[in-house]
Amino acid sequence: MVTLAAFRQDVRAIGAAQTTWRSSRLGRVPLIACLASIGLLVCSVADALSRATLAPSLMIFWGGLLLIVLPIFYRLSSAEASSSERFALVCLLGLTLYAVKLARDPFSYTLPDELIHAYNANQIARFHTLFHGNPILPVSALYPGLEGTTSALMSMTGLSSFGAGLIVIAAARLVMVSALFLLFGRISGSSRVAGLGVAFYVGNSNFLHWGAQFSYESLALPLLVVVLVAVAERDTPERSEARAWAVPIILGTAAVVVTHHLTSYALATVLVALALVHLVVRRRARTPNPWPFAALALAFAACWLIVVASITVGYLSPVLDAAFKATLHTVSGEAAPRQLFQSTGSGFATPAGERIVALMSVAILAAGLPFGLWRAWREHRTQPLVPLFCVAAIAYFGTLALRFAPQAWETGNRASEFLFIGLAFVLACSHLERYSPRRARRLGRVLLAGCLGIVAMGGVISGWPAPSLLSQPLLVTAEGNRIESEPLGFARWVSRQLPGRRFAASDADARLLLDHGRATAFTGHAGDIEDILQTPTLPPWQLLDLRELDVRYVVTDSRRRSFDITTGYYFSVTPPAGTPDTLLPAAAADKFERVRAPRIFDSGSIIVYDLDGRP
Amino acid sequence: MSLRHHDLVGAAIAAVLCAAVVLFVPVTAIRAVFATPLCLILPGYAVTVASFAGRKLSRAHLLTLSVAMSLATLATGAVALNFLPEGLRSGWWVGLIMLIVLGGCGVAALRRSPSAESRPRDRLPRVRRVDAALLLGACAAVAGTFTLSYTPLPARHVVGYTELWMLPAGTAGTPAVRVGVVSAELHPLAYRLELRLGSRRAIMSLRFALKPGQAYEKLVPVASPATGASTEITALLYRNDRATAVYRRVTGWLPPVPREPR
Repeated sequence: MVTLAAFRQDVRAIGAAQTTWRSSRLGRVPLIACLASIGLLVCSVADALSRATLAPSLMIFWGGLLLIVLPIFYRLSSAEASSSERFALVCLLGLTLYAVKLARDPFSYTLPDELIHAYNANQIARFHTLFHGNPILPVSALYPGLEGTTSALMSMTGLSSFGAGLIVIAAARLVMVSALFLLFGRISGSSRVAGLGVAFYVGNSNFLHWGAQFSYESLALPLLVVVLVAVAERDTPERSEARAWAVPIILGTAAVVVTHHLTSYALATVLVALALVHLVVRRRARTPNPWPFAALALAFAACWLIVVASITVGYLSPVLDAAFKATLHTVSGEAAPRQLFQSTGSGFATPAGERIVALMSVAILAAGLPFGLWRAWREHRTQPLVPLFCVAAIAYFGTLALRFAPQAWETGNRASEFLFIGLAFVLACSHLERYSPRRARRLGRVLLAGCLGIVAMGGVISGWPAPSLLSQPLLVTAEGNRIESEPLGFARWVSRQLPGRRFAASDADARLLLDHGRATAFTGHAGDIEDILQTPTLPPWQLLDLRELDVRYVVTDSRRRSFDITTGYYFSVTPPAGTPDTLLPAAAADKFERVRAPRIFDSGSIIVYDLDGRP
Repeated sequence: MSLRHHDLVGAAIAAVLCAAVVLFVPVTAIRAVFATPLCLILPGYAVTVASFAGRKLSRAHLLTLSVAMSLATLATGAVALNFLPEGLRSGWWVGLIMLIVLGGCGVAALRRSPSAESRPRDRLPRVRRVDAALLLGACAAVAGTFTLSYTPLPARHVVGYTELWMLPAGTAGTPAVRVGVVSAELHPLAYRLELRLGSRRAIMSLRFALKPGQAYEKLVPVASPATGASTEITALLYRNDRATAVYRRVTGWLPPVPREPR
């Protein structure tokens, strides 16, 4: 069994012994950093070509991505790399992949939740207080950890919520990968397993895009991992050492609770489970049981839920209820299973080649699981977190099954971010890298790096629809001048002419109105806006619903894409850059003229009616 | 805090310097450079060294905890500052961070045993020429990436558009409308803007040309007919290359003007 002392010594070598630093070189970090940067440049070339509507092949993007990850994976699987080198490599991996996301969205937030949270941050910076409400996602304003942090940078620097948010999320990404490295290393006693664990975690379907967006979970999840690191480090008989870790645990727990609901419940659950496991596996050991922190996490989360964010119950319960019912209906055959690799928003079907890679990645994960479970159990089962990781690894495959249920796939997808932590550790314990037949000493490492590459690609494919992997035209130049996409241009017009007013709009337009328009915008099922904006008739209940929301301006957008929160923000394009927009019937907009509402704005697709301006 | 604790003294000086720049230099870019470590490294560093005073912590742990505890401090600090009457303002943020950094460093200095050596002076690893060249190459590639990413490019296959808008202006006695046109077309275009009042013919017709990204705006005083009812005003935009087809249309209502008694 690997001793913890080995890893501690290993990790302490990173900083404690200055003489080691003086004499050591940087290992392969400079070479791999150079390759990763070139990979990043290749990805940004693919993005630039896509923004220029030149319809580049996705192979350029995949080439760049593999150039980033494969050298890092290969080096992490080697036995020669020092602990400090591995740590540098996982930090490089996390930050370079975040830069891939930045290269995709250089001018504005465009991922689904980003514009909602940017609105919250803008409200805090504007009014200097928290809890201002959010018309699209009300619960988000009640968990202000991310926006509070961002508003600190905004108010101190004058940066926009976009600029400040990028810095905060970059820091969170760094914490995520470095904390995972420390956590896996602490439990396994091996920096090699730690590095490979992080490499596997990158293959989680939410890592590249969803987990890197400006959203509350992107900050809360790294802090959860830090709390787990502190709990794992506290697992020592030395009382004073254990006491020192209490501060990061308490501060981290408090921060998670004020930042994200689900993550805070996940943290409380893990700590309670950990306390129970501790009772079983460490009955005779003198290491401290983490039950006080479990109780604290439960108390913090319950207090915040009751005192500040009681609407969370009403927000989460329908989602979980729908997921549960959809799963039951799918299992019982009452409902048809959801088609895999079919985007629900745009209806886009993933190409066959990419489907194969995604399925291969699941196959690799499944094939590695039994070996990983066996090794993890045999070598590390006395670590209280390991049984939990094993359970999480198995449960991950349960969440994959949820992808077949129409209303449960998103729940499954979101849960995977948490469960993949356990799976990554278990798979890193499978030790494929140690396979070295006499004629091909490095075969195991090559195989492992290849498998990790496929897992990483598979994660990206399952996490984000292929047409949205590359940057889309949001801001382009024409005759040397900058022009913005129609919905963004409209949002800018609102910020100049009608800031602070109340609008009803399609999903994508409403999000842009919140952030760039500095307006209050309602969308979706709130007041049945989705139906109101798409139907050609205007029965009296529609006007009543709009009046109930105190909406003055109705924004009609004839592009069906405007209801898609991943693709609705960009310019309309013509072949070969994409297919022309499918349009709603003209009557869906014209119906407001029949009630004599002034038509105050017309940009072709987007038309605005002023309901209070009627004679 | 003894000068022997050079790491703590360094952190305190860095915090004071960053705070001074944030408070007194009115240039966003410079403030961002100094505010980032002030917000995202120093508070967490202070919390960490105060908690682990006298204990050895690896550099990996120190880096991770510094950034993570900084994030956690700001997230929870926002809730704390929310209770102040002034709320989350720049000055209060700087004050809170300075309190944490100086307080944390002070606690760490007190808790460290007098005989204990503070962290050894960190020396950078020796960098070979080939490594330096590779790192330079990496920096160049990253710089290229961001230059390329943040440069707007021409896009032949996007669909351009033109915005036409009209909003009421003026007062009840002297009604007026503001009309605006913004071109986001891919080429310069010539337009004709026509304003109609009720069912009458055009009361105003203007011709102008706009390049992509250019805007045209005009305040138009309107004499509403004294009908005792609201009057509809319509703005029609035509492209010169398609002179008969209405390209954009907006409408509004002028308030009723009471008929003068005979």
